[in-house]
Amino acid sequence: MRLIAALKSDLKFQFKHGFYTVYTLIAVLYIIILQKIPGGLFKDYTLALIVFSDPAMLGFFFIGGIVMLEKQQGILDYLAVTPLSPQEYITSKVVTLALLSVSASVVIALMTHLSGVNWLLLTISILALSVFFTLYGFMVTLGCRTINQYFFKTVPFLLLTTMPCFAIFIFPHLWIVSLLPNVAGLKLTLGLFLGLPWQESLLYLLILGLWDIVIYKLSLKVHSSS
Amino acid sequence: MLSVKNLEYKYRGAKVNTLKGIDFRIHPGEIFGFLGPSGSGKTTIQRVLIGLLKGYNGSITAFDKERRDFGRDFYEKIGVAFDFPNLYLKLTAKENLQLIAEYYQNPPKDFDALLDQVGLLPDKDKKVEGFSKGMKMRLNFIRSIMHNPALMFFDEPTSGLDPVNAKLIKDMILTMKGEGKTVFLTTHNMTIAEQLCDRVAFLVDGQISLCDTPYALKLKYGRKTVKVDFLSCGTPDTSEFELDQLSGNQQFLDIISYSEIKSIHSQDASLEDIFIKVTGRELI
Repeated sequence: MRLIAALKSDLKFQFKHGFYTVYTLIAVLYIIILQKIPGGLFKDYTLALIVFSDPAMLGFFFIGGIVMLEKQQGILDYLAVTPLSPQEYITSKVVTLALLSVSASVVIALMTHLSGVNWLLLTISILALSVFFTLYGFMVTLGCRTINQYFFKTVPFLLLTTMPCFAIFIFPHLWIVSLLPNVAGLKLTLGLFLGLPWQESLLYLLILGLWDIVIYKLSLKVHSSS
Repeated sequence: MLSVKNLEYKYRGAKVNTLKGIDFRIHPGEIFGFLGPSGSGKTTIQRVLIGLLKGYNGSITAFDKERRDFGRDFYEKIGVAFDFPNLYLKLTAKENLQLIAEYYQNPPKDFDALLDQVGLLPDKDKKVEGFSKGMKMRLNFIRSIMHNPALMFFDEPTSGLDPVNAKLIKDMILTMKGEGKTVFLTTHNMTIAEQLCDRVAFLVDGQISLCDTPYALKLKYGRKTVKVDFLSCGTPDTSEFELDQLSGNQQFLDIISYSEIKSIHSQDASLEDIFIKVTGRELI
């Protein structure tokens, strides 16, 4: 019951602070741009890269804004003296931002890539990616006191996220990098629109799922000790 | 209700303990005040007691159980109001109460009545970001007690309030005491402490230097004299007399018989005077 209350609270907080309005505008912009691109391989690549780098990763950026706003308003301090547990607090953030990620990805894909998409796989993949990036962003926010501090701190973390992804274009057969969550996620997203054997999709999903569990436990540990 | 034995706490990276062997016990239905200047350790002790700071040495027993053995259920039993407002600024006053209330097993049923208690009913649907500090503090206060806790921790509960609203909050605290609730209050405002607390402890440099009822402290540390302001041949004058054998003091009797008395006051020590006398510190 407390988790449902936390979900309600987070949805309301994110709505009132304009997170959904901002993302609706961004999604509309992507849809307009993608609709201008003629169908074909280039469009599929562009769509996959947009879905991977924005809706799937939005949790990384939004969680920073949310946690910083909660810190500034003193809400984090107050929640710590209510029965809401750290697990419920983190899960609620992850679920609400995953909902936004999945909704935005599905809408963008629906409006620009009508055929050949496995919608169930798209939903599960974006969900798994969103969980990872939200928790990754959550770890970055811990210890930050201001929004500026947070943005400054995100730079090395973002580089760490994007650099290995280039490896798959330069060394496509270097399989070991696929064990990294961001690379597995990118390959999975590319496969959603360009095609990928189901066994490979399943493997990347498993890798992401394992990373999600690891980073969730790590987030809880760091959150409890902070 | 709450028993603290040899409590020590050291912040990570600090060389010395912030709390240095603190002992006290709070009985059910008591208002216990922790008084001290800024930096004395008041906020630290409150944060250790409510579980925001972990890793203490010594013992804290609340509701007959060691503090560190409690889970989140501890927060069903206590209410906390910090000395600064921590509210959802983009939400209304009522939404602020409703969202937090859902985390409790015993949520309040009538939010309007709660808001009315602190004079915020007309503002219930206004966003908190437009509230004054006093309004935020009142909302903060009512939120901390809405789940009917047995033990409450208030940090400077009247900070930022005008005299009328400060009295409203003080009266509510006294009403809760009347209902058998226990209150742990931290403040540097000696007047509030004197008006509300059954017992007070003076905290300086992480140690309790004195703990007793305000009445006993005033008796012990006050001057046993009476000061008389009067007009002597039309000129204002003041004299001070020992209380002992006052009825036999001819000078005092002459003044009250033949002069125009402006005021007579016994020279009780205020808690602030006692604090300064005992600790050698000012309350800032």
